[in-house]
Amino acid sequence: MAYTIREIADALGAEASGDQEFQIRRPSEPSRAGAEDLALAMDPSYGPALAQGQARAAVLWDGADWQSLGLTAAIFVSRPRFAMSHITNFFAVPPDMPVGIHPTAIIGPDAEIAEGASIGAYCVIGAGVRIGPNARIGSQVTIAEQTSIGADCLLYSGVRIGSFVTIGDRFAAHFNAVIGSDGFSYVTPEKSAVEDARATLGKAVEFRDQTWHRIASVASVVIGDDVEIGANSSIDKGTVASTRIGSGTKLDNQCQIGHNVVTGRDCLICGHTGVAGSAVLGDRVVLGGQSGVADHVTLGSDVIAGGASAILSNVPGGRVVMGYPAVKMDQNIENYKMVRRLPRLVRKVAELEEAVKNLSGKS
Amino acid sequence: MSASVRNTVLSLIAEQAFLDPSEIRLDALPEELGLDSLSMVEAIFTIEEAFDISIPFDTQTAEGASNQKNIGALLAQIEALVGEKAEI
Repeated sequence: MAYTIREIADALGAEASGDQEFQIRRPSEPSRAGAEDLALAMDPSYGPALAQGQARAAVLWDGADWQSLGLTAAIFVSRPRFAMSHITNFFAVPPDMPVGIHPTAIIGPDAEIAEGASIGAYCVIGAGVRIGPNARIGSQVTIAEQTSIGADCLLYSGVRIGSFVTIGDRFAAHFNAVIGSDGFSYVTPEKSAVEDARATLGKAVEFRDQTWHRIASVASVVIGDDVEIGANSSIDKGTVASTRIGSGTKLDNQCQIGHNVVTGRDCLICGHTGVAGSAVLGDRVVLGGQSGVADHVTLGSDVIAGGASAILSNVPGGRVVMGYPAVKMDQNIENYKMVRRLPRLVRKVAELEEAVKNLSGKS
Repeated sequence: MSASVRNTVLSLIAEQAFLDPSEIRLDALPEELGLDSLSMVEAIFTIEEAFDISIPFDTQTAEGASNQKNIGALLAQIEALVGEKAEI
């Protein structure tokens, strides 16, 4: 499949110069680009790499002198990272999911599947499930009873969605994501050692013989529009109120969202992050990879947590935090500075001690 | 003294940037060497430890060592701190 420079520039809403009808087949790194490739050289630092490759067409930074780079045609963008979204989506090959329900799929009674759906081999769709138009559902996906999913969903193989889950439009879930597992919620007949530990910050803990009794998840999961869930991530059901994921929120692979968690809109939750039960996240919260949020903690809108942050207490909106326990990023670096300087400080104190001892006549 | 301070500083920065010391230009900003703010903090710690000095730094402003300063300016600052230490 070949595309003209004009087609691509139009799709990007970008200006193009040179031969608008020049044809290319695929995007490429500048240094590896062949004559039929579109080199992605959107920053001046890629200029030399462009010369190493064979590209005749490229996406360049605003104001680049395309002719001196020896190109036949060029497209200009002002924000490279954003342009990448358009460029990659233009060339992305959609998954092979032809419209129709595979004969091996099992569809429960009273399930309503709107027009344009593709349902892959060995899917099991429960009773009363409602799925909006143009669903693309890969093989071996299970959707339990009474769950509802909006229009244009894309569920890759192995996705498991529990019962009574409500999901908005344009939902995407990658391989083996799990939505609507039971919450991890247990209680002891008498006050537990954990409650003591928490109340006294570990000072007075009375250990007792105790067994854990399950608190059932009576509610389910409610997910807004344009939400994307990564491979092997899981979202638990709520206890009496549903766990909620706000519109536009994206989860990376292997994230765990506990029961009763509420996230706002457009949050970004990176790989291997865990959000414990009943935590509340505002809008546009970004949790770096491997972060953790303790249970019942509230994060205001626009909080950003650096990778591997462990958030143990509430964080006001707009704060950038980092570390264990997570504190303001500049404070964390200050703390780290102190820790790194500690060995030298200890040596210095020992020297001073020695000097004082000598001064005071070895008393 | 100064040549060895310079060589040590440049080799420690190069190590953090995965470059050869000869590739560390004095007019380069840390960012141009591929050193983001946290990598620069790490580089400064290794320099502190090598010379047993404390380098004031602030990632926000041009006070002390910072990402807004080029390598030459950082080097001058470190040479001054090592010099002060030698006088004591």
